[in-house]
Amino acid sequence: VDFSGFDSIPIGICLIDRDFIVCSWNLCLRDWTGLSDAEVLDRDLRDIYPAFRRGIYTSRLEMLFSGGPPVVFSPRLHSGLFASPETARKKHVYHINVSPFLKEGESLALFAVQDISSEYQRSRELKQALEENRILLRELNHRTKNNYSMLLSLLELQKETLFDSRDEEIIDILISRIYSIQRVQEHLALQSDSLRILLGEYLRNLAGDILDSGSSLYSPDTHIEADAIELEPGKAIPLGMILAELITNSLKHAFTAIGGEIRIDAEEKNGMVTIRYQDSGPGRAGPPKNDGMGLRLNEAFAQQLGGSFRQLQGPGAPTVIDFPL
Amino acid sequence: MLSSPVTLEAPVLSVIGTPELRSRLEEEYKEPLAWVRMGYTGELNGTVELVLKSAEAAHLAAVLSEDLHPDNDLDAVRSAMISEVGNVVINAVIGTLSNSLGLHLRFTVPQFMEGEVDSLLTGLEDPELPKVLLVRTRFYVQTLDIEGHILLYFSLATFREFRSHVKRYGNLGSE
Repeated sequence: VDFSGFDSIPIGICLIDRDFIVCSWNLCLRDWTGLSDAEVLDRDLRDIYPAFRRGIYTSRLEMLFSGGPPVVFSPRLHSGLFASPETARKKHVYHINVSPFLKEGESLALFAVQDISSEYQRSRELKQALEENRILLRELNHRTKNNYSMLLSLLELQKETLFDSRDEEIIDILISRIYSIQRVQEHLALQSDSLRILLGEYLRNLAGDILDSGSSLYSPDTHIEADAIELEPGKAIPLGMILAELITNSLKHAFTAIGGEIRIDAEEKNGMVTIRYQDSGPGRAGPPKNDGMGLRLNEAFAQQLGGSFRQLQGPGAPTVIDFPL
Repeated sequence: MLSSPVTLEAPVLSVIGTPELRSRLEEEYKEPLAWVRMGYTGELNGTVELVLKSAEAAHLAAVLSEDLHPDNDLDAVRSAMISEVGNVVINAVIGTLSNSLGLHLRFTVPQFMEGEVDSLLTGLEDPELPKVLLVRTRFYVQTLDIEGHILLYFSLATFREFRSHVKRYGNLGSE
């Protein structure tokens, strides 16, 4: 039988019979392995590549000779098959499919040897680049965390040198805003495989940071209920700024004794998030002042969210923030 | 194959239509899937697939390749490895089935694919392929415990043929 047609196929082809005797060895295999027809044809493949003596090959090929389905030998698990010569500049990596092939009633095994060296190399390079990026990101997160801590320590130190209590309030507000940015950064650092932030966890951590910072005499109980909402960082930061401002205001104005309470509810409906904030204080004496720095900032942050910020009348100074996901 | 045996747990079998198959798979698999597909012709015509959760397939490939930094993506090399595992599992199941029933089948080479349930069923919801033998099994490779499905699709004509082969095998003598 003339198998010369296999020479025009751009994959390696090797045909063996039931005794592992090589019947065909095409041009690609001659090129990749450096073995000529004369060195291979009519010889036992197991003498050329002793790996084929292993039970995992003989048993799987035996099934194929008995009419079983094709067999796959993947590159990572069978790297020694049809190996390139020691002196070759390029080491080939093969994915091998073995199918039954009938020749004049005799059952042969046809090895279709596909060279995937370049895909293999690309995959290794990508993996290496990914690992390098992981290390860099870890280092960057570590440095950013240190920078935030240093900034907070500097502000705390600065507070001790102030004479006017109003200046102290400004620094407290700054500290709580830095906490909200720091929280987003920490969430992103921990969830390296996701750029989404779980709202409930974020709100609980943020409120905890501000209440534990020691800027107030009061430590109200916090009740935070949130639907399973995931935010992108671009939304989490302005929202954190608004809530940091609201919590700081509650600590400043709402409580007169131990035992206060802050309640935050977040729900999502049809792609719109509604956050309701309330404390257990008496509420505002009058309508909110339009010229207040805090209110202007909160409205600007709400605008950044593409939503609205509303302060309502009544006990607890209820506030509602709406924005699309 | 992998210098470690692949052990199949006793499977649970059910014969269902493709609409029911869709709802069962959608209920079970909310995450991306990886599957190895082999077509067969001869005394029976159809397709056989081994279906796994994509993340489990990636984990399996990482363990087999002793990858120290595994991730959930399957590159070309790891996909080839899953093809091989699928090939071994499918060959074992089909080999046993065709030997027991005395069937002569020809197979295509395994193809590896990834996607959602929709992609898995693309081209298989043909009215000519109304019956699926759904084999739910758990299999172990090394110390990994992985659950997967083996789906055997039959064309309408060959499903009847398959049924009569099974009946003959079970000595029920319907013919």
